[in-house]
Amino acid sequence: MNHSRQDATPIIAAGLTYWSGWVEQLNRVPTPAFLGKHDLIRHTAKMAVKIRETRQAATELVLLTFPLIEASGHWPEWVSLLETLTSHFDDINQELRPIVLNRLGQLYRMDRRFSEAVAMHHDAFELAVQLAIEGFMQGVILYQLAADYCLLQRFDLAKEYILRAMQFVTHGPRSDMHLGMSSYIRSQIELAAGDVAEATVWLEKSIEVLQRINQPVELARAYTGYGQILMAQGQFDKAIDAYQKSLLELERASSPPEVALAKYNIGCGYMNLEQFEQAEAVFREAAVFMRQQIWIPLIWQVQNTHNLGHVIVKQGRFSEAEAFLRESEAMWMQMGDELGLANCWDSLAEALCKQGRLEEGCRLYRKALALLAKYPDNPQAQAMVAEFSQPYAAFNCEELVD
Amino acid sequence: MPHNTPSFDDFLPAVTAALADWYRVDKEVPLLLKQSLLLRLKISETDEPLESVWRMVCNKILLAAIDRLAEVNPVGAKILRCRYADDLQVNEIVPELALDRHQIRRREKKAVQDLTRLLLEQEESLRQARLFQLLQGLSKAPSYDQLFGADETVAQLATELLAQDRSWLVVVTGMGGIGKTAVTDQTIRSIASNLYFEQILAEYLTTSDIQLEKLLRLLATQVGLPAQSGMTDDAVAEELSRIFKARPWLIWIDGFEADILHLAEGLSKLANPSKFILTSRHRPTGGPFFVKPLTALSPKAAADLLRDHARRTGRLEMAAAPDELIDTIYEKVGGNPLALKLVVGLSDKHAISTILRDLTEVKVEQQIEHMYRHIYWKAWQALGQEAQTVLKVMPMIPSSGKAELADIAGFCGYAGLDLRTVSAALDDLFERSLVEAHGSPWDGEKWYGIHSLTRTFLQTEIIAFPSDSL
Repeated sequence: MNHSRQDATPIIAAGLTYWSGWVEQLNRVPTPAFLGKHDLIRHTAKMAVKIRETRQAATELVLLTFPLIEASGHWPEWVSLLETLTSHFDDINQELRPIVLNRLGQLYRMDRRFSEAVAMHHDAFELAVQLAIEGFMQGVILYQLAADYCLLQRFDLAKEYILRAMQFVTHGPRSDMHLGMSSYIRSQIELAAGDVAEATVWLEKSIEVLQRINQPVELARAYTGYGQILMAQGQFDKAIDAYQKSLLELERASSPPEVALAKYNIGCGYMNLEQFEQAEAVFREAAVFMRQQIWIPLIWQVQNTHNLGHVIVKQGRFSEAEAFLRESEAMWMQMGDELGLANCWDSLAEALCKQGRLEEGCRLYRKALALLAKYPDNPQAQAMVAEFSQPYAAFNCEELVD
Repeated sequence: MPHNTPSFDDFLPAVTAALADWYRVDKEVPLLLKQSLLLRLKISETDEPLESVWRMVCNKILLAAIDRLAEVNPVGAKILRCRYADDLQVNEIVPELALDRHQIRRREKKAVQDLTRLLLEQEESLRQARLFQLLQGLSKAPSYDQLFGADETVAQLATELLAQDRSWLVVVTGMGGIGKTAVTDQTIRSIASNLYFEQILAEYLTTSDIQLEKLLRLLATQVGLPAQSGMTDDAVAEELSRIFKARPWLIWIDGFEADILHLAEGLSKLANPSKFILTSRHRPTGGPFFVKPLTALSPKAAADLLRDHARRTGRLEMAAAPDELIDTIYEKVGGNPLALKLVVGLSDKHAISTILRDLTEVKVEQQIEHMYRHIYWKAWQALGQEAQTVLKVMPMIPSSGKAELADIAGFCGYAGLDLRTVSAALDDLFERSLVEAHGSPWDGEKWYGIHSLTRTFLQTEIIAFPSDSL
């Protein structure tokens, strides 16, 4: 049985070829089939980066798969793989190197490592310029930088980079895709900077392009952005329509966490329309859906639970609402979000006062106001102070609590 | 929570009491209703809801069921709504229904029975959906058809896993191929319908020698925690603790080969109410583990397994072998299920007497690894070229992966094998117990993998795949 082992390189190379063809035919839509095969693709890619001869093809597979990884929420598992690729650049074609850095920067941003994301995207851009990579690719990196700065609330820089990006991305491969996404990022920048009209123009542009090229996850995000603008303008009916469209697109793709968010957004639309029964139904649906998922961000859970409690208060079922609000109170505390906690205490105080438990309720109003006093320069906190002061006075809390 | 959907006879008094106490906030909602998924799914995640919340949710469920009852029994539904939701006396509804008091009483009784049946149907359907979702956590369908001689072990493990005051870390130990994975899988499936655990998670390790920090990151990935590469090890542990402490999860970690004592403290911090069940070749040298060692099958169970497997794979000579011959195989191979199956697989190319003569060269108990290596080499040499080609690509499938026929054919692209050839080769390999097939061909899902011992043989003797750890 003395026997030398065979080399696995031809098998791994065949695997890379097979998975590249398989991923290609998904046309960037993370179908349930992709979720089932994700582990296999990653396993092949991880073995392939260990072998010099297969590194180039491994890089191509990773870059091809990236949009599916990002849209399906499976990205944390790929960070180390992309980091490994960056340490083997000698074996990878020059033109792919800035793209690898750009994608790694995106992963860092999703990982909320914003400064590393910015640094990585700057490195990617410099490398692209240095290697004289086509302008289109430079534009793609620039709009990622814009997205980084937007999240860092550096809107001046975000706008500077998105303007530069948009000069490039309209010419090149998948130009429609990049135009749709950069228009979306531009709308987010305008919205964050307070220019709703301009944000609307860019969102409509983004939706028009993404609809045409059939990209459900990106299109769903654009509809959500549109819904947010309509909500800010008080056009709640239209916002619900936009969120419904987002939900339809997300259900078409496979992005369960974002489905939960879409349901929550729809609930918020109904809540603002004061259609509390419909809002309750959708928040409950979202709660059940979130509960069925293995992981959902805590912030979505707490907001959904809080709003569920709030709309039940508004329907006069105070003791039932109390249970949900107590639950969200614990979650706000856990998150250390004091503005969220103050808002929760306001809803809880209303539920208690209206049950006749005036002293308990008033104490909560007072706690909420004391907490908000820590934020004299925060406009949201001050708006809440103005809002909470009214029931505080109406229930005659000053005297009761004293 | 009761093991199954309650019986009609048990549920009827609960529904009757819930209707009668519609507006009685001083009375508790019947326990059977509180335990039902019908109510629990509407209660969200509040630990100790107020009694008034239970009552309101219960009434809401009853009202919705009365609405559905109206589709099949409109008069009965009307009576229930008037009598309980509207709190009217029988006398008050006589004029509206144009029925006398006795008729109303009779119809009310029938309506409560119909309502109970409707609620039970709904409960059963919710339980089935929940069970389906829960078992999705195992991610792999069973690779075995039937376990032999494992009933007592499965029952004991089930008891420990369902105990709510002990056995937070359970370990199933035993040598490779003894059936640790199959027994654990069977145990988890047997207790899942109890619905005590709110989530089941299975981590099939690809590397057996693993540190706590790495293991927790694997679990965090399974749980779907984002942003973990930016988190410290402590933060990952804390986040997992938040999740596993909030609700009872059952976490199965399969495939340890060395001592797991170093994991005891870290896993203990995450347990209660969640539980961990681990499978390991090595008995832990201490720690708060409930250890269940798996020993070799008894001669009777081994004979049953051997004959059953031979029948299923068409090795009719072996299936019909006399008891003495089976006893001799048992003497040589011992009661190790995988080894017994591999021997059955050899019996189409080799006479049983030849197999037995070969096996006399190895001492079973002292040199189990040597025996496996010997049997695997025999099995490898008995394969045709196509089957060898297909077996060589199987390490492309990680232990957690689900590869279908088309994927394996894709990997075999380098050797120019077509789909039909790969399919035939996989059938041959399956019959020889060299590949595992999961799922059922009827529901369109069938995927393949290999046992860790087969993976080790291929990796150490046949083909050099790089490790996939970065």
